[in-house]
Amino acid sequence: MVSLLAMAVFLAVSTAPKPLPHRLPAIVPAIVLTALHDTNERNDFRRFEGALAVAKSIADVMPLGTQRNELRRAILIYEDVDAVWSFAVHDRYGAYFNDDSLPGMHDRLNADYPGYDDYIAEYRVADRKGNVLYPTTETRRFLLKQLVQ
Amino acid sequence: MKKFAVAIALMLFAIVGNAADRATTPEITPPANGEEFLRLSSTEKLFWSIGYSQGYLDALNKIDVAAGPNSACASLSARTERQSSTAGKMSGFELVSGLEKFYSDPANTVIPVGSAIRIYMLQAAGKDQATIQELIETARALGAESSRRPMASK
Repeated sequence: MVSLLAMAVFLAVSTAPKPLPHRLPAIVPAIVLTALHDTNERNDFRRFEGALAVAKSIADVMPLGTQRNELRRAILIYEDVDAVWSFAVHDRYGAYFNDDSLPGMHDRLNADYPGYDDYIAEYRVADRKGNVLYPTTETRRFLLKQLVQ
Repeated sequence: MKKFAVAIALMLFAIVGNAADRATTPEITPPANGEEFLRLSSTEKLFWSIGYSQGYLDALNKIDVAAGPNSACASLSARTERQSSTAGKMSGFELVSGLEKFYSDPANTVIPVGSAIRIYMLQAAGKDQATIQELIETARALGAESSRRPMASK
């Protein structure tokens, strides 16, 4: 009788919905980050967007702490990658951007990531009207390097 | 002695000039398929796409010289090949963007660049999606087959 009651209490506690945030196994954020990294390596935009959505939802339910901060930092960089990559995939002239096509993006990247301006200076080009354009591919590559640092 | 010094100075100028020329002229290996295309930097892609469009147009303009003005080759060139020429229809920026978009699907990376350009141009012209998908499937099969086959030059 006691064992049945203990079993019932155990089941009630284990199946009851827990309030947020959930404590996740340490491997879960690592799996998500690997998915984000691999989709970039394979140049697979569709799967990258899916992996980013999953990463954001996991970060939302993680308890505050170092692990969540690390995931949030990676997500912030991947969100910038997504903004640039999404433009590259959807715009007719998406290989390059400037302030007209992606307003404020170059200035923001320059402010958020030290060394971006020096890095991208080598790859920028000017069209026949003299407009300076920045390549989306090299910008993505630069942002991905920031994850390693 | 003076002549010798002048000769050495001239030779040094020539070497420096030659090195400067080499530094400003990018050496680009033409990409065969998406995998090779994506390995190029954006600047290389842009230079290559401008050169491709110009070279394609030049070749078309010379077909009647090589094959004769009223030959089958010349009429074929006029009828079909001119439709797939990018020169005058899209800028280098658009061609690079189109190819990057096309190759953003990893399954397309085996497709030869020439086929990718034709498919992208049909897409941009508003060709129906069923036909485009059929062309992509065929190009993928042909691309996969050609990548399995050893190159004759190797």
